[in-house]
Amino acid sequence: MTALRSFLRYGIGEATRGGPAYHLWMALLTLLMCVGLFAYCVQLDQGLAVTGMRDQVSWGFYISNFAFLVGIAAAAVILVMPAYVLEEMDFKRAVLIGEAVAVAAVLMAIAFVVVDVGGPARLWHVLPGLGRMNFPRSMLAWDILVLNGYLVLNLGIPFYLLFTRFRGHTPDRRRYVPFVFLSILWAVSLHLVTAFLFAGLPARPYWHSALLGPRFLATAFTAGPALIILILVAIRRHTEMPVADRTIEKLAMIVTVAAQVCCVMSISEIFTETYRSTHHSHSARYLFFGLDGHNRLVPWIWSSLALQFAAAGVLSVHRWRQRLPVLLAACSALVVAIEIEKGMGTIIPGFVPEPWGKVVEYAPTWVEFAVGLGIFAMGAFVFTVLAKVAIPVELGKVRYTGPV
Amino acid sequence: MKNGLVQILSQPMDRRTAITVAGCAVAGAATAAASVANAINPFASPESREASRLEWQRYFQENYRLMSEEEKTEALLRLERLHQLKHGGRISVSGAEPIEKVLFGYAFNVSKCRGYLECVSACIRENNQDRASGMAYIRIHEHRNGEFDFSKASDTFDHPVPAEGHFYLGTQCFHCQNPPCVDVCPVKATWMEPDGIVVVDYDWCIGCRYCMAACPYDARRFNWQAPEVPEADLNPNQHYLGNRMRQKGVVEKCTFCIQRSRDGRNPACVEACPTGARIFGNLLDPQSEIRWVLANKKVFRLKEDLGTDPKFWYFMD
Amino acid sequence: MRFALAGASVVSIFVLAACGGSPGRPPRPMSALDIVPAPPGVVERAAFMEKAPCTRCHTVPLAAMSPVHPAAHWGVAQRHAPNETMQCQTCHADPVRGELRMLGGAPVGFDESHRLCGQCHARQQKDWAGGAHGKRATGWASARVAIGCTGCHNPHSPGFGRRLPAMTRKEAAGE
Ligand code: SF4
Ligand code: SF4
Repeated sequence: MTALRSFLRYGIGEATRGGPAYHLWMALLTLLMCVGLFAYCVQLDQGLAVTGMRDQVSWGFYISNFAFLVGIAAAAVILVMPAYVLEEMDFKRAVLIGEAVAVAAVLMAIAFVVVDVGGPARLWHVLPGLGRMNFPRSMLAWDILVLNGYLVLNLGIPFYLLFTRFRGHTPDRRRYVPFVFLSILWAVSLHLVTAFLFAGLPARPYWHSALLGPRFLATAFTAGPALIILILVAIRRHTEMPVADRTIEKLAMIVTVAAQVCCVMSISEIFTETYRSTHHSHSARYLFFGLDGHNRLVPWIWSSLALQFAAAGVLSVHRWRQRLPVLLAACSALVVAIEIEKGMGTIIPGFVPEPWGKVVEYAPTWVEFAVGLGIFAMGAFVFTVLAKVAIPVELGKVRYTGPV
Repeated sequence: MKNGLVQILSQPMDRRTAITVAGCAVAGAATAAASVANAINPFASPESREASRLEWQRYFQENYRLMSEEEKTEALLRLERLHQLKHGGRISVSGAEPIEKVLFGYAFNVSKCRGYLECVSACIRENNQDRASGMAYIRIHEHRNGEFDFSKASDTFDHPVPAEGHFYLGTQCFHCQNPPCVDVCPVKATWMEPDGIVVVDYDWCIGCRYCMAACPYDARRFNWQAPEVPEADLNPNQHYLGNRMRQKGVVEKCTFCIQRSRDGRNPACVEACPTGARIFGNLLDPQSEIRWVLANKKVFRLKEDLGTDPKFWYFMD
Repeated sequence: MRFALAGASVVSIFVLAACGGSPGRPPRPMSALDIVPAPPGVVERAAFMEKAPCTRCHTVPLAAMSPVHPAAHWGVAQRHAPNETMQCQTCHADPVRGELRMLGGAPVGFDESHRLCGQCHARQQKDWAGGAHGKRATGWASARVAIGCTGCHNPHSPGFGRRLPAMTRKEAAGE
């Protein structure tokens, strides 16, 4: 117990200590969170009417980001596999970072759902036991369970590892490896369940496709590791944690293959929707070419596709991929491309045109942007704290010395 | 944060503050705290204290379908009293149960509808729909003769009707016998009653709008802002699962005018239609008009391929 | 809705079962030639008609009166069928008797317009009797009482007019 207390004390101390750059960074994030909170208060006060959503496009920016972040969260844990199972020591460090990313991403995903619902005060209705969860019928009920379970797993495993190291012991493989396996399975099902949430709706032909689940996974395994590469490089620059080139290279390999798969899937989708276009292709037509003069999403999706194909092409050449600046540029391009694709290209066109064919376009309002910004700041805040606390422990710099 | 977080309290209270990003727990606690604070506040008026107490009870009430008889009665009386406390007027909120051996069905005569929109107007008034946002459950689609493509039809026509060379067809909630909207609701806030009416418990809905995404017929409407009906225009004859006032952030839809149909009357749209294009009745009664239509007319339903099994048929003379 | 329904009372309430075609029993053949099926209850109208009974004015045969009150029915324009098909006398018998008349000359009361109209409009009559045409005056649960033909249609000009919808586009679409 004293060890736990001292670990927590260390954690709080470490999170509040730091140089001016650290404090400035955290202050900036706090400011952004306040902006988000303010916008959220406006939304609570006046209702979701302050967003761009309407009866025809009833989900927008919030749910799009939810889908994107669930992908990031799922992908972060895929790194766990080689690390713990194949005993790749160096990879293990990356995994800790990956799990911190997962925790931050899950928290952000949950936050995006919370800000999206019309009655957040009644959210207790979904709590198992207290409320009346529609399990197993509703995919959203599944998603709530899976997300929270995932959060617990991803907090639990690193906590066990770090806490054991903190006490100067070696973590017991028999104790955590089963959970690691579980969390890998969980990560895949997490993202599949999220895809099923949309794919299970025959009412929206654009989503009602067997490709949606695999596509979610492929994009997640592109954007997730790409984001982690960016973070690892930043960590290598700004902290003392060493990150071997080999780790980056392996991650780059994962990103490359996943990006290639994404490209294949995009081509497959565009072909199916356009070769013999039916009523069910109206959403795709709207997305890629515009419908009845409405074409707000067209520039977005083509920029996303261009970035995705260019990055995949560049990464496919070994020599280019091994050059760090090229790799970083390609990874950033992929993260942006997939955020756009999930945001503008997946959720919103599912609603356009509405079930009787009328095109009502959607654009997020300042409230949605501000709330989203606040949530992303919250995620960055959480991640920074987790990483800051974890790195010294992982490096063996902090040790518990008191009584057990 | 004041006045915003806790929408179910319509009376503003200054001390109500809450700091939350994750929302749920803190929001709930804030609701509770604010209600309690006002309920025990010796300086608040007795009416406002009573209203706060009732809101507090309402906040923690059970899903309507799972309530006991006493709980249901309490919930109904609570709504009536709350309305009186807040707006002064009297309403009656019924909890009429489904009638046995009744399954409601609806038929729409495409040859007869002429686009007068009397049904839309009557529906809005009957069901206390938000006037500010112009919400409407019914959409009348104006199709050009020789075409049956909804994406080319207009539901925003504003010219004398019937327009030359056009025909009209209305859509609303079809009360699917296999409703996808019910399957997806994460909290069982929407369900099909034994008489076939798909209803929403507006006090249980969390406003996630998953049901709106799942409905293939654009039947559901969301309260993007607090709904407004002038007290003078309010229909005081209400049903808990029907036309009682909704709150901000919940979903609503056509209920076949449950407050009327369970009382043996026809829905407002059926009554208002000047051409007799709308037919309503009990599918289990072989003598009913709706059964006559099904047996004697060539009927069709929309998007049958989705397997929703709507209890809403179209036919022509 | 030329003739106000307000205050209309219900005369006869026949049991709906009597009308043919309900599922579960062999459908009853109906045509213009058929004897008119037992109708549902029909909303009474004759007692509320402004100029009824005809005998209020028509005390002598038409031929004897026409020079006296030439403008009594001046507002009535026959926009029902071409003149070669229908004239006043097609439906109105010698007004002294105060009734309508079937094509074959048999008298028929103002409250039984469905019998008269059904001579030509057999399909509509059948639909009306079954429940697919027209409106009922009662809710779904009560015994069926239908509004008769002339409760909705002006017999002299039975079509419905063109007019603006009950709501504007803005109201209907929330735009
Ligand atoms: S029409 Fe839509 S809202 Fe109505 S029951 Fe069917 S799916 Fe549900
Ligand atoms: S919006 Fe309400 S009724 Fe619809 S799925 Fe969500 S909780 Fe259920």
